[in-house]
Amino acid sequence: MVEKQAGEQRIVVLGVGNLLMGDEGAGVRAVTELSRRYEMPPQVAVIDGGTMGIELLPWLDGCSHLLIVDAMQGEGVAGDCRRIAIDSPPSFFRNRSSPHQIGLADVLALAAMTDALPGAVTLLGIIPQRMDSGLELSGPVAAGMERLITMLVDELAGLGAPLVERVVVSA
Amino acid sequence: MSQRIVIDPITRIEGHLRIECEVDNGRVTNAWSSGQMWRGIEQILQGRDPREAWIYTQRICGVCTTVHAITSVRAVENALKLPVPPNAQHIRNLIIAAHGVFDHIVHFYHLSALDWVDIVSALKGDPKATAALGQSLSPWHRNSESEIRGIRDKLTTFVNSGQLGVFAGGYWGHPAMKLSPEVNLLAATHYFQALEYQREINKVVAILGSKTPHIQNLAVGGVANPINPDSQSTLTIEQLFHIKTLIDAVGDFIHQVYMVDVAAVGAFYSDWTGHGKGVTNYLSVPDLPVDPEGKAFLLPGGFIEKGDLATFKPITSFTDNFFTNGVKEGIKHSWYRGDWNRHPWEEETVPQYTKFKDDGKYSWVKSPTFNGEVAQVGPLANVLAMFAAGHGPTKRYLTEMLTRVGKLAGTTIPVSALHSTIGRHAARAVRCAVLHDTLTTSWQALVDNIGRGDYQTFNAPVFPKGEIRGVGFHEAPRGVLSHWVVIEDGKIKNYQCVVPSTWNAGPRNDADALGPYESSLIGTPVADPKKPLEVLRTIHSFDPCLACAIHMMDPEKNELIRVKAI
Repeated sequence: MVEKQAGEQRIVVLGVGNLLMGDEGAGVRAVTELSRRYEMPPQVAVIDGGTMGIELLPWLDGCSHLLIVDAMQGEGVAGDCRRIAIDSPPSFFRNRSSPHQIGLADVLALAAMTDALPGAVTLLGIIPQRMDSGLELSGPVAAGMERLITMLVDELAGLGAPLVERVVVSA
Repeated sequence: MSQRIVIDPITRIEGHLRIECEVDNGRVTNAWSSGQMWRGIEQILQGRDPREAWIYTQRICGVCTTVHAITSVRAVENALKLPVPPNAQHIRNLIIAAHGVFDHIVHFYHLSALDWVDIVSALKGDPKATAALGQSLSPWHRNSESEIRGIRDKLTTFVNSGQLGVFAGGYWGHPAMKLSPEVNLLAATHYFQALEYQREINKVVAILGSKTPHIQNLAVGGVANPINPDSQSTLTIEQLFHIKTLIDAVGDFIHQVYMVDVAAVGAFYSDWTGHGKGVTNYLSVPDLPVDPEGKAFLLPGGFIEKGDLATFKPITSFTDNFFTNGVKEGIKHSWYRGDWNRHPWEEETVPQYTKFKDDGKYSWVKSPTFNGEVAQVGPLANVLAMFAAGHGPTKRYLTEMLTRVGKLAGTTIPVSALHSTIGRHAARAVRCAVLHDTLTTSWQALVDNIGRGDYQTFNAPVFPKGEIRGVGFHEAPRGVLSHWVVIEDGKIKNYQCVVPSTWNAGPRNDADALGPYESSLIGTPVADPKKPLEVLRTIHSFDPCLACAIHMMDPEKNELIRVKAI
């Protein structure tokens, strides 16, 4: 949990989506892989938000930059990645079609009402191919995951939070 | 002329709940509840390691992650006859009760209060009069004029900015909204305060569940929290005292605000004790086990027939055949292959979608029965069972609730008034107070046990060759949840989840008896079929999963309600 401290930069990387619904879980898989590969600097918290809604509120406490990682519909083909800077987060997500994004709209609307809305909200998305029951990602989305993770690393570096790769030494 | 109302939340991917009603002369005359979500968890789990099932089941739903995790490990432990160390039971019980308290508070204030409370009217409330009203109802220290004025100003700014946010899509000014501007403003003030307290109590889940939104600390056979009073990396005395502080912080809010607000809404809308009754067979299960085998529980549960508390029959253990043999699911009206009524261990899940047919198949939800009967589940079922079982705290808080409503309404409110839409809210508040008491009990039991030098939290599971079967049950915030597992040579062969919303939202059963949602809507008055607030009130009173979707929808961009004359 990121503790609230005025004036400091606090970045939350929030992966959302349902792991049981194929490509719908791409956002969660991306942030899980990000934490596996990299050491996070102290101002960055990586959260697997799943399909939760209001329960995520405390995890956004004191957040200055919120990076939401998710499967998203858009122009292009499955596996393409997109970056959207969101001006009005609650209404942006209210019109999305998946249940967890309704939850997100809820969280962000409540955050707005309690003056706890992150200063900047950015959506990093990957276009899904199939979102039916199953644990596996589709081929194009699995192939696109590297691009998504690179985008995340670049985004964090751009915010002054470069990541350091973990060195795993097997002994 | 009769009309047909279709309320279908936006959800195009995981459709969720759709309610269709026929309305004649301003009253609902027929209803269909259709779950629009196909849940594939049963297939995903086949062939997997039973020790990992809970990791997947907690992803079934974004609202009920914790409860699916707990129930899954209980199912596997039941199959193995594996005892669970007392420390693990107490830690699980703390998580369960903290989650329940969180869930009940959020349900009342953030998911359903806006069915009764008119936010736009609240803006006209006078802060001074509102403070006086609040202080006449409760000793709560945050009913001050300055705090109320602050909330009203914040709301006014919010509404004037045109960004209604979570308040968009409410039926403001609807003729069925009856509260005065001051009562509305008081409730709106508590809506904001509730946001603070739900966060505090949810931190208990986070601390014990390993500091992520999804709990990580479960294991088949116990919990993965190592206990060492001297080590910083484990569950320490310091953490335990932090948990106690969080538990205490939410107590006054439950007793002086939540219980009082529900009573006030109940008194002002006392006509709603006459609506929404529906199915009065009530099923709940005992929970918060305090022994390794699950024979002794902090909270009782059982079955009540036709609303008669004298018929209460308790379920007494995790291995009680009264429960295990009583549950069946039918698919006569559900989108699965065939037409059968089976025990969960014998079920198959083969989807076969056809069109919505009033007298045929019309839902993804199956129709569960208990000993052949449709049953309602949820806090009302649980509170009635606990009351019938003579559970002390339940009797105390229920009596307090009914007395308070009676005083405000100037009449006497019998226990039978609970068989209603407003009764479900009252029961949920009572259960929240009861659950909160158990937090202190479980906390003390854990601390005492550790004090005796018992640090054990886990018994390792060993899977035999051949087939074994288990059931795990849990009295979740929305009612009875059960997971049914068949394990063969250490791998999952079959897995079925019979969830609370299946019991309540199920379609007609194999005898064409209406499910609890459907039945509860019959006779409900509907002032304006284009704005069926009254239907939402009753459906929301059950606390359906993702009910929030109904409040979240944007009426300009999504077609919410189609009304067609038939």
